[in-house]
Amino acid sequence: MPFEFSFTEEQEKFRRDVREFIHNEIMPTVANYDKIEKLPIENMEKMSEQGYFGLTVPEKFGGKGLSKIEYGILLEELGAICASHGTILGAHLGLCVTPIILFGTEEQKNKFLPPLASGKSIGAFALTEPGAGSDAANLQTTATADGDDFILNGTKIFCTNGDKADYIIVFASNDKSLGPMGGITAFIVEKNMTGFSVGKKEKKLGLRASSTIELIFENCRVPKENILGDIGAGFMIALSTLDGGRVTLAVGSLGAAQRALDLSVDYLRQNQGEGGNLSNRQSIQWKLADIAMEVYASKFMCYNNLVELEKYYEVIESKEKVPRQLRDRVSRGSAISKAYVSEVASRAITTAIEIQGLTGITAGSELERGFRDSFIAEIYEGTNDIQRMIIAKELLGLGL
Amino acid sequence: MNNLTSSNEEIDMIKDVIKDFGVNEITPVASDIESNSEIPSSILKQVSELGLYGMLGSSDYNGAGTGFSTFIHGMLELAKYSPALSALLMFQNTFSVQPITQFGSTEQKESILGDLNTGNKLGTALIDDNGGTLNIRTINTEAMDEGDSLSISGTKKFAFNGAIADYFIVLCNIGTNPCFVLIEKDNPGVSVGNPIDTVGLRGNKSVPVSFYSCNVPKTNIIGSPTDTNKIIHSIQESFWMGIGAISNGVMQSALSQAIKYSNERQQFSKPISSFEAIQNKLSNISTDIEVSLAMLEKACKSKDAGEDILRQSAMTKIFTTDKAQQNTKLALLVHGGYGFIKDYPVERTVRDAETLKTICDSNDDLRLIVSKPFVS
Repeated sequence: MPFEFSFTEEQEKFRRDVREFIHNEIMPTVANYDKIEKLPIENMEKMSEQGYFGLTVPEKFGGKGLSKIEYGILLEELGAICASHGTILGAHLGLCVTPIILFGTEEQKNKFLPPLASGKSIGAFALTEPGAGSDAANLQTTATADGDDFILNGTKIFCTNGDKADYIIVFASNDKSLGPMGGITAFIVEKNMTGFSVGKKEKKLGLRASSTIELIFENCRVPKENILGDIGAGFMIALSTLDGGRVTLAVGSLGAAQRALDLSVDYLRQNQGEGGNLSNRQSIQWKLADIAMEVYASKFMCYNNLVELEKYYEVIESKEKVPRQLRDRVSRGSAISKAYVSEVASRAITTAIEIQGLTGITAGSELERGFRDSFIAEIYEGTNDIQRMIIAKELLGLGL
Repeated sequence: MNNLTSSNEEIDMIKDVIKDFGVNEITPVASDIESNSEIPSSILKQVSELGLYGMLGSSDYNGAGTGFSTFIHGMLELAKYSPALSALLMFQNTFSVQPITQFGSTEQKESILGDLNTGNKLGTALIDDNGGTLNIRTINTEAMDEGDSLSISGTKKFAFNGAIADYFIVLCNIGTNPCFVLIEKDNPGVSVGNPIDTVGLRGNKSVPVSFYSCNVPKTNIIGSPTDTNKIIHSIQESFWMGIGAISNGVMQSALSQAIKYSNERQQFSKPISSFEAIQNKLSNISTDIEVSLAMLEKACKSKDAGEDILRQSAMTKIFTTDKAQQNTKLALLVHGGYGFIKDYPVERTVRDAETLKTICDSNDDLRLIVSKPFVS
């Protein structure tokens, strides 16, 4: 288990560049996108020009070919400024592009990766259904073989990017009798396919610049070329994808937590506070110190997990058998970091609100938006209760 | 006023009345209050008929004259249906009706107390400069002595109910003496700012209020300079308890929502309420509600018995607002992804709890009041 870690000079420069870009181009717009509850299309175009939508895609498919560390840096910096932007990118790159890289055929990679990497096409991931949330294996969407094609029927909910996506990784049950391992298949659904339509858009507490969409499949014909991985391997594809997704969610939360800490420090340095110098109050100092401890731990946890994830995905991509130990370690590590850091971020934000008082809950302020956004990190890609279940069962050898 | 006590019958009656009102009248419009940030005038009219504007006001001036326990139980019950409306009425009672009843001159009572008690007019107190009651040494609102009148200048950044208030009870320095002065909204020199939109308690109309050479007769001073601390003390006791009561109501609402959802929602072929992780959350919320309720009831009894409850009130506010913040969040998490979307009211409940914890006097400041007698 690696414990030594440092960013390379190139990675440090990458962070500076990302931060400058986000500061100049994204940050001034985010409060308004939250207010109008619209996808930040212009920002997505600018992010595409920076190569962010293809950051981890190999160069031969038009991507930047960068590692999970750079991906983590990008999501950390985006998470600091706007959870919606991080979520849009994460759903595209982590949940749609990544499984195509890991499990796609050469034909699929050649067809789908270049437009996704350039950001000309947007990706999404559809697993959750009304009856399959925490119980993700309980899929009701069916995939019925019709010759070599499959016909999809069912409804998916809470699909990030669902209304804008050109390609969506959709999980459906091809044979209920086989159970999740063997009975679920992953498909790359293209938005123009007959029988596919976009349903309701959710109104949400936070994450308002990101769209959360219902998807409807009515006799949607998917050709066999669009089956991702083996028939029946869908659930394993979903789990492997989410193992990575959780680490990158954690790193987004790390950005949000660090930002809340920075805002608290700036506020205390700049303001004498209401009725005296708050900086001199130990109640305030102790709160800051607690958050600083948790952010410090989170940072090592997140980047250590990203190093492990990189190795894990290399093994999967090579089509070699993934050692059980490695899979369990990554799965547990990603569950630990997702649950822990999302809760650190929530605490950092409510602490910052305690310090700033009224300003922190005034609509339109950065902290008020951060507060509303913070809850989702404890819920999506598996609630923190599910993460705790994964961690404990893996520790106890109980199996899932 | 302090002689009034609450009988159990009175408490039960007000709880029943408010429950009926909540179920039949507020629940149907709760989401409108939220989306329009406005409490419908029909609701406000009924609130007046129920006597809720002047619960703490004496019956000599059209007040309901209820005891303190009854008032607190009423606000708690109402908060289960609309924390925003409960807060409006809690501030009306503790920030205007109560100080005028206790410390107003006969002339002041004759002139405005009847209207405050019936809700014909609203009033609010502007104490420290940031919407709280604690930092009174640093207030910047000054009253120049001009013989028979005062000329008042200064800014109060946050006035609860400020946009709908007809009367402001303003703490200002007359020389070195901080005093409360009654200022009408229409008095020249009063400038009411735009409503401050907060993350929760939507439907409330808090504003900044500024005074520029605002001329008022000295007869508008409330009490004598030596009464000022007593007025603040009395307001603090009552409104911290009020915030505690509303936060308790919010927690109870969160628990009801979590119970309902967790019994309806099936995952892994059974209701999620059958999982211990969910049961633990429900149990913890329920325990904190009981503790908070016991704190509220104990302090109410002491207050009705005429005892000083400043520390008890501070402890109740600290505990209940902290727990309401934590427990509304637990209730949201019980809902999973559905907790994050507006189809379920729990997302509003967490915003209300966060707002109740944050507005007016920080818990860290209140902790200093609680620990004061321990420090030599």
